[in-house]
Amino acid sequence: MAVARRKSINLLLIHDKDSSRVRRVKKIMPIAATVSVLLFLTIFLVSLAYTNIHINEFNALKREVEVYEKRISAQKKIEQVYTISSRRIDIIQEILSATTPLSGLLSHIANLQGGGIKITSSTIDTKGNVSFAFSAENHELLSSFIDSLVAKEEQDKLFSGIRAHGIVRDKKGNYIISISLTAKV
Amino acid sequence: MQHFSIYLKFLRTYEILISSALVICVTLALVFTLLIPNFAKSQQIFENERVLKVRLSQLKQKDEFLAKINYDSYQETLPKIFSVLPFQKDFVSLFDRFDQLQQKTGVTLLRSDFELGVISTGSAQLIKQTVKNSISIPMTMEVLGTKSQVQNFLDALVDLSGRIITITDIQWQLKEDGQMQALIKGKTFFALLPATLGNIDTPLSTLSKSKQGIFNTIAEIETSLIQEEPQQIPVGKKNLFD
Repeated sequence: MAVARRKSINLLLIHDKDSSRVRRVKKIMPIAATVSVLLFLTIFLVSLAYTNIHINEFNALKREVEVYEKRISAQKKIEQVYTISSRRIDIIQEILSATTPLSGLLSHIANLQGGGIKITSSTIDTKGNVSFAFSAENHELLSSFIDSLVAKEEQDKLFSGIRAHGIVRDKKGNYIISISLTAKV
Repeated sequence: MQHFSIYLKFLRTYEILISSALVICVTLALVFTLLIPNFAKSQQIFENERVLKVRLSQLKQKDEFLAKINYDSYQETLPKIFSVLPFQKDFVSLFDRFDQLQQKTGVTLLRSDFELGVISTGSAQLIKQTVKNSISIPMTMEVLGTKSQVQNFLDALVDLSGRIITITDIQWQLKEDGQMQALIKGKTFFALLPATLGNIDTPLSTLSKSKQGIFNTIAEIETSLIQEEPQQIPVGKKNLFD
């Protein structure tokens, strides 16, 4: 004998009760989804608009840059002449600033002679190193010349490190001395 | 079939959660595929725009500057600048300069030496000066004149009336007749032309007061000193009985 299986016909669906946590999540999730979609759409549209505005500005700037580049290219000759001139003037200025004028020092040393003192030869360089040979007719003139050199060193501060090298007396009785010193240039 | 009904029941129970999660996931995916690249693109455009604005400002300044340049003045002075600082070794201009100095100051140039090896070849003897981009040629001059003539000669070497020659040292002696004979060691210079002028947006700077002074001094050099006509050399008598 087949066992009759009882089937229950229940038209009501048995609804399992959700936990409070699940119920809360079920409330929040749709709101979160809606908000995220709206947020995304808003931000995306704003960024699109911003990008388009800036693309247009960029293109306008680019056109303006091209216009100015053409204008400057048309003035290439002027730029060439000016650039070459100014660069060379830069170099000339550098050369001049590295130059020490010696004509003043030459004049100064040459003017030491006179009154029986005769400068026969001299060397000067741009570092202010000076050496010269002079002759004095007698020893009084020699002393007074040396004193004047020392005075220039001590009072006028024009010379320093004055050294005498060798003293010779020639047949005529003149004293011939070589002097080296450092001059202010 | 039983499994399917379980899944269906699960879906029906949590359909809101699942659909919401799906929407959120899709939104996140769109953020990463569309929104973030869009931000990066707009950032790049913004950066490019900023660079372009700077470039445009430089180009405008340069254009204004070029419009103000007195081209004729610079064009006229450029050959004179080359006479002061040539762009090649050019020892011929040194002889012209010596002639000019003799005429101007009254000294007699007894002798002049310069290192031909430096001038005629591109040898290693080229001495690049500490002054940027110029090359120096050592030289020696021996002059004879009065004290004031020699002084004027020394001043004239750097007065920008012609090729610039700087002095390193002087040896001089006074002769019996009062004349000064001086051996002057110095250097003259040349500077090669620049290979390029720079980019189109390379800015140009105004000459400072001191440089403008140098420019004005050079501009005053007489043109006749720069563009000398070669003298006609008489080549013989036209009339044998004259």
